[in-house]
Amino acid sequence: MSLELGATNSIQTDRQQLLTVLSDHEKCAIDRLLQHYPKASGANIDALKIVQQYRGWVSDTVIAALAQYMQVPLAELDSVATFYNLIFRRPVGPILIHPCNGISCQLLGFKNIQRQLASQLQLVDGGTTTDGQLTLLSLPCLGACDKAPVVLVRISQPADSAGDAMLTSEQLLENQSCTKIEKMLSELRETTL
Amino acid sequence: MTELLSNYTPPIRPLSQHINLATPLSLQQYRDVQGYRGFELALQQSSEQVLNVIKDSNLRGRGGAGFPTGMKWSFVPPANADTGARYLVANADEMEPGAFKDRWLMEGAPHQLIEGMLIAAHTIAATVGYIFIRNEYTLAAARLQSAIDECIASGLLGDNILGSGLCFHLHIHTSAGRYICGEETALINALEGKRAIPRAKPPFPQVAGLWGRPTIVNNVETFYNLPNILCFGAAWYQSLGLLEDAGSKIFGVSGRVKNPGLWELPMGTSIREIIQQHAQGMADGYQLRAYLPGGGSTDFLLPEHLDTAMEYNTISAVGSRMGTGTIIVLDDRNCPVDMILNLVSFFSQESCGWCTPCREGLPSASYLLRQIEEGNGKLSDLQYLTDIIELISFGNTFCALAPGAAEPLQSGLKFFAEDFAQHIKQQCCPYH
Repeated sequence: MSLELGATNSIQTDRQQLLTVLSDHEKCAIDRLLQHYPKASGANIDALKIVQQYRGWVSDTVIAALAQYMQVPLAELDSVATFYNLIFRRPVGPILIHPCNGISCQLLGFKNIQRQLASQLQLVDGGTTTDGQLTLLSLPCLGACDKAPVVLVRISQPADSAGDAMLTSEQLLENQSCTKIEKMLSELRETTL
Repeated sequence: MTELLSNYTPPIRPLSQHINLATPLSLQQYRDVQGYRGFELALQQSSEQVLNVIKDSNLRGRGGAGFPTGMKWSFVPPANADTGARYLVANADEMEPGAFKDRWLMEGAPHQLIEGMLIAAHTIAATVGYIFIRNEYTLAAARLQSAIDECIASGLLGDNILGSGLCFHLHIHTSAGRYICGEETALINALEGKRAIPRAKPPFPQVAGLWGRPTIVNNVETFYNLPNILCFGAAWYQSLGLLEDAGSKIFGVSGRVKNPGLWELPMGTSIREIIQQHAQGMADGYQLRAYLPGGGSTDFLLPEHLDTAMEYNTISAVGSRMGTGTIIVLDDRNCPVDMILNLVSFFSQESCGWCTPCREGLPSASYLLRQIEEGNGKLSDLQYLTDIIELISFGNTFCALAPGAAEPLQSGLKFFAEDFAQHIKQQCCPYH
């Protein structure tokens, strides 16, 4: 009996705690989103993208908080979050380096580029540098096959005013070579230092 | 019958004539070159009349399957007393390996997509539209959004468009990344906020699609064809093709060629002309070994097939598919086994996991190909690969993803049998 009570209390405490996970800015953005859909679950993917814009990635706790806030089943939201390639389920750096591993890029040297990036950054594909700044993640065909091999670089910066979503800029680097990659990495290091 | 634009010379390149990658035409600039005239002409006709024009034009879907557009639209139940929402979706989730045509169109001429969607919306009485665009196409999405904003501000989108009574609200949905979203019923699930898993058909989306309502999903390039069909008529459109198929098409070449790129050419242009004239042939020091004529999920063709016309039936007759019309060229210095491994690994990663043959078959095929490529292959692996191809063929899977993945694999095993044998015999990749 006491055990049951304890368990119930713990769930209630968790629920209370979950209410404080999402920021007012996030809740506001999600509220706006929910108006566009006949069912709350329609906003699942966009809501996950919104919290990712604020946090860089989506943790289990955030998914639980989001499910509670949107009143959608946790299992459903969790299954959606794990399905899509660009919802990150573990922390990534503010700098994302995405070499294209599509077939046209492979035919023109993706493997050399990937090898160069991996050795310079001392990362495997999907890994993040020890300082947490930079993540290497190859992506499927980026649809720029006439400029192969290409690398997409996405940089997120904190917003000007506190609590706002991060600002993301990106650049598609065309006709890459090992020399160009080396130059790009040293430029990135300079800007982030 | 409404007047066609008889005072104007029809364009030679109706899909790409307004493309400007540096600065796409604004609404006003697009209107100055007769933009939205096709839509205005459509509004002067009943939806049935427009449907007949599209049917007569013989336009076929440009996403890969080549289904006749007019016929697809004709499955939508008549609007009549139907007051519920009806949806129209532009499939801009261009994730086919080697395909890059829709990005070009959307970045270069965003208003033409909106005009095409408005014509379709009028025809099927759609009330809400979505452009389902892949996450990485941020420039295209931004340009489309400003084009949409311009249209809303000038009454081309929203309620009672141009006083016609047509109400059409258009939104952009950015994907969270997954190849399967390109399959129309999986795309609809993604729009509903679910995992992008294909749906059983019937019911077909035309009858019960997004939120259970009638829904039409067309490829981006398909929409680009519509404005000029309305302006210059079905007969003109048909006359653009060199042989049987109507219209023009965006063709592309990537790989070790001198001039990789995209060109709008008549349907029926030969593969030889596309690779040798427009892409200017192979780069110095490289020989043409083979090519995938329509993206990563089409069968390999060989130099002996170069004179084949890029037409749906002609390409099928020589054992491949038109697909997206973007050709991927394999040269003599890249390993064909490694190329097939890249493609099958992609399809394996992108399998949604819903049906067993795809979920289990593709990773197995990918594993076997990796073994062979890395020098650990056995002769029996080739038989396993052949068995997997049968397992994942049409009729055994829920959607076309796995059968598509089988295409480069089956033709590769046939055309590069000697390369496979060498890998296994020498226990290494002879190209490395």
